[in-house]
Amino acid sequence: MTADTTAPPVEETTGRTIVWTAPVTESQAGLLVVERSVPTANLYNVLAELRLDPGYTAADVRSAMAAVLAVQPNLRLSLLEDPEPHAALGVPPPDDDLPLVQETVEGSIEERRDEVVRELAETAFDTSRAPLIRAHHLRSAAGDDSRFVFVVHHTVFDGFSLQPMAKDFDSALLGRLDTEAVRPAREHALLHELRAQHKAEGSSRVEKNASEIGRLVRQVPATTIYPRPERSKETRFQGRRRTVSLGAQVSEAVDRACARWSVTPFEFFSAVYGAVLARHTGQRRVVFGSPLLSRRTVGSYDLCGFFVNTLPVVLDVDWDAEFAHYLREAVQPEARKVRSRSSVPFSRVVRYADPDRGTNRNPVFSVMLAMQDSTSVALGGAVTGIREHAPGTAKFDLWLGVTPTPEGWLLEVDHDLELVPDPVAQAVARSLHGAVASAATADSIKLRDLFADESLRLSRTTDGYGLEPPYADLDAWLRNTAEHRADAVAVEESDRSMNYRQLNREVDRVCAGLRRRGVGSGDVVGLAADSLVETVVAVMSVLRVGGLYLPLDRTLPTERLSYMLAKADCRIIIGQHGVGGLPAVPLDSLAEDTSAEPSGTEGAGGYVMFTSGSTGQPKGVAMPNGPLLNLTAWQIEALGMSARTRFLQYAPLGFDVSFQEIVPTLAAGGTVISREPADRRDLPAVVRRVVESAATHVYLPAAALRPFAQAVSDADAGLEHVEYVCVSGEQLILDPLVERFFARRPGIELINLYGPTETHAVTTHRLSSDRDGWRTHTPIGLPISGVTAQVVDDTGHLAPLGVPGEMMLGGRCTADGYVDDEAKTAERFVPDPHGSPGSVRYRTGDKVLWSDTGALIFLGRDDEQVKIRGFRVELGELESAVLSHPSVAEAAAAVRGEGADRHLLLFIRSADSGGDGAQDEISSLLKDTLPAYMMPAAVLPVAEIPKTGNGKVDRQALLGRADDLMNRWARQREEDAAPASDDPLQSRLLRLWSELLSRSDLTVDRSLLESGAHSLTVLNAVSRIEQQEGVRLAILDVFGNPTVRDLAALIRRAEQ
Amino acid sequence: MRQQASESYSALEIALQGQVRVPYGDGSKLTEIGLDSLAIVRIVVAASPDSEQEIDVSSLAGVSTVGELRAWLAESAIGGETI
Repeated sequence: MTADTTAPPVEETTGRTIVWTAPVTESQAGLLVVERSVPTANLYNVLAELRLDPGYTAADVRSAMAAVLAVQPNLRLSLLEDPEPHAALGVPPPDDDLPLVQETVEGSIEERRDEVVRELAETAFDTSRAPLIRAHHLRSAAGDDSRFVFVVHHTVFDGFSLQPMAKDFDSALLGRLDTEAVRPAREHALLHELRAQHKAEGSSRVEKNASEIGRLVRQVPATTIYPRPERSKETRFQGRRRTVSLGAQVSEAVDRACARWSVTPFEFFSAVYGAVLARHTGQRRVVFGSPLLSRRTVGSYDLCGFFVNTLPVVLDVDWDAEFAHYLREAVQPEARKVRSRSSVPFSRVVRYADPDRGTNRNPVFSVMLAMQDSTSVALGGAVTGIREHAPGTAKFDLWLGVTPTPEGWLLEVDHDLELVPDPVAQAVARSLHGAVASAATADSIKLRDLFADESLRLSRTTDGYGLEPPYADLDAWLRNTAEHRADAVAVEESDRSMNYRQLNREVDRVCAGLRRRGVGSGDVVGLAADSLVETVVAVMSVLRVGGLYLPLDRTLPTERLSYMLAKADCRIIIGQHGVGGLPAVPLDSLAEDTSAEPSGTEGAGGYVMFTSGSTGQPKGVAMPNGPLLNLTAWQIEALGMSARTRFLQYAPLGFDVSFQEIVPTLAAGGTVISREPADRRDLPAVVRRVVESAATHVYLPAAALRPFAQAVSDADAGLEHVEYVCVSGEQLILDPLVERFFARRPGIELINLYGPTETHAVTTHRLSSDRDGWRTHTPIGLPISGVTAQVVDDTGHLAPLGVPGEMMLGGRCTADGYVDDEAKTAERFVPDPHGSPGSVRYRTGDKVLWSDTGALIFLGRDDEQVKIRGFRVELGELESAVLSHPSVAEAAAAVRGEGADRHLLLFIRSADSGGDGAQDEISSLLKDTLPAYMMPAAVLPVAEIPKTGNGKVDRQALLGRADDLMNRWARQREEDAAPASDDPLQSRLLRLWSELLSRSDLTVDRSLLESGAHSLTVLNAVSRIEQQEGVRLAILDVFGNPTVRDLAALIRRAEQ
Repeated sequence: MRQQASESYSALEIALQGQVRVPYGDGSKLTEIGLDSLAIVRIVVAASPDSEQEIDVSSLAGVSTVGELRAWLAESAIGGETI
């Protein structure tokens, strides 16, 4: 320390007279470093106001400010960086050189005060040039109001400084401040305090505590309010303040509660704040910073200055715990521990925490709780009020200030406008107010009950489309349309079509055949028809007899099909070929003469669709007529469907999307168009089919949108007829290519739909080229008419805006349940407390949140359900399948990669410690029992399946080892495989496919499809082969010749 | 030193009486008589006659009753350091 108070003032390069210099504290240095690293020069401004007795003149106030500067040495400090960070104490400025503006206000002093606050907030201090304060004195023209408004830099002024400042101002105005005597004592006190601070900073206890806090913080995930995808990592630090006034009654209840439970207000508010943060982040463990007084000498308590250390408070929230128990057993010990470490500088914690620096935010915590000093003043003084003003900036995502005022506790919430937009901050403030009141007034209350339902109205808001269904059931609607559109084409294949009259007659004939075979209301009918016309006739027939159609995909393993048939109690299949051991009845054989029979009127049919099940077998979802009727009525209006509509039938019948392609089109009197002859995987061919069939509506899996847009672009197709492109199946990620696609085709709207099989499509978000707001992570939007979408947060309440929760779907969308599985049905289809009596809501297990603009955003899932190219896969089903092999003792599946590269990996621990000799058998077993999309890209033997602390499979740990395991596995396969080709073309193809599939074990004769190729990689390969070899292969040729040797031959033939 | 501790003791009484409006004794919990951590610091400062004396507020975290505060202050006055 270089300070010497006995030395005469010296002139430094700044031109200021210096009393003494001293090293800055570690906290000050840390603050300066942070300030230098952000682009906002006014971020560390403190704004405050002293209300003065208006009897004092402008001259009195000027003298008082001069006196305060004289006795408050920190307000005269310059903070300099060369040769090392230090503080230089200047002499007090003369009265006529104060940083003070004085004015008489003719109009509203409050309005002028607000303007001045905004002006002062913009002050960009040069911390090397004292004084680091600017003031503005406003006095009303009538002489009945007087305000002293000032801005001061945080490095010389903490929250505690307001009272000493006000006290000195008061004394100065009252003529009781002996400046000559007080000034040297205070200058000495500051120097003394700085020495004490430095001594404390150097202690081993501080070092040990900093290391412990750093270690703790490293283990705590960031506490992120409004944790949406694409949340900005950088911010402009613009902030806004929201005030929560508790009022006298609740404030008194808080005081009584603190006394009753023997806790401090800091502990009480920390407890409530911790619960609010847990709710609004969706996390059980939260961390927030809190500034702690770190003044060390008695004399320092009269000084303005920056003597605080901000330390992290870490709380674990158990929603079922009693508030009082949590407060006493979790919060109080933590708060005491943090207070006992108040000497630890924040910058030291940062050093040990070694946080992620990928953001310009505070590196350790993004939310704060600051207990502010009282704003009360002595009665009868010259200073009659104290108030701190919002700075208009936000150092943190969220900052809560708690101030005891004469009117009660005042809560102020500052929020970063970019990261925590106004509606989200408003929701936080509401939670805070409700939770404080509940915690203070209830004798006994669980943490979850501190909160209330928030988004009930939003959960009932719809996307604004949809008609009330004009008919009692789907069949009545379809019959009516068929009557009115008798000669119009209902179904169109490439080489034949069927009009509505023919369709209706054929349906009646098939219904007669079905009835004769005993099929009636509620019976399940398997569908395995070959053509679209037959499929449509069969679907309509089953709906008409009141049955449930069960799509049967003959490419599925026989074992799986047999299970589905038995589970759904399906006794008849319509089609050319038997499935799963059950013979089929061709449509022709079913169609009977109906002249003698009345047309049936059962009409209220639906479907059964199977989806992946976690217990090893698929689950059959029974969807009744009502929700499908509602969906049809919504879709016809929402997708502008009419007699002009030409809807491409792209989806496999086993996907509920196929219903949306077929039935609403027929209800609207439009035409359902067959995709064939285009293969579903061959998107260029699909595009050609869209063009030649003049389709108006196309519905694709989300993952196929980009390849579709690419294929359209490659074909230079205008798609003039297309009005709507719909996508669903998984999270839609938009990229510039897709955006360009729609920008160049302004007539096409993009509709993103969301809905599990258990409910059908239930929410939509639409984008058109002339609207802003295309986000990479596209929202899933709002519910369709008749449907409610509830977001239920961890507290069990309807979540406020910005709060993650589970999506629960109610209204006219829920299936009847799972066929032949009452237990599972009861678990997922639960009573809806917000619906009409007896109504049900479906627990999706999907994690979503309401955005600040009131749109649903999909966040993912916590459980083991994943999507692979739009197919829903329960990891448990894959694991169960492999566990049926005797050599496998334990198995864990995991998903790796994103978008089209997303693939499954299966980790197995062998029952025989010898290892992995049964690989080929296991591959065969999986092929025999699982659909192709569930096949893992690799089956990787491991010595152990790692577990998390609570005993669950640690998939992240497995995925962390995946690269190594894959390399080892690939090397093994290479050793087993034939050597690479000598043929240069084959070698080039091998290299290309190895890159595309991220595998090094390909051989010229190994099937590329079995090695992980799928339609999207094939599309990519075709494009690269064209660039590389100059030959354009048809996608189906690749599927037909799926080895490198075959492809090379194909290329050679094409070259010739 | 003993005299200094004694002075602190009586200064503490004055400071306590200035802040606390309810009856209290050595066993009274500070939170129950309305004292938050800042109020306690202010009492300690008011009860410490020597402006040069160092007080370690972090060690006040474990002080929860009036009796403990008295003991802490006495200890602090005796063991407290003047720089």
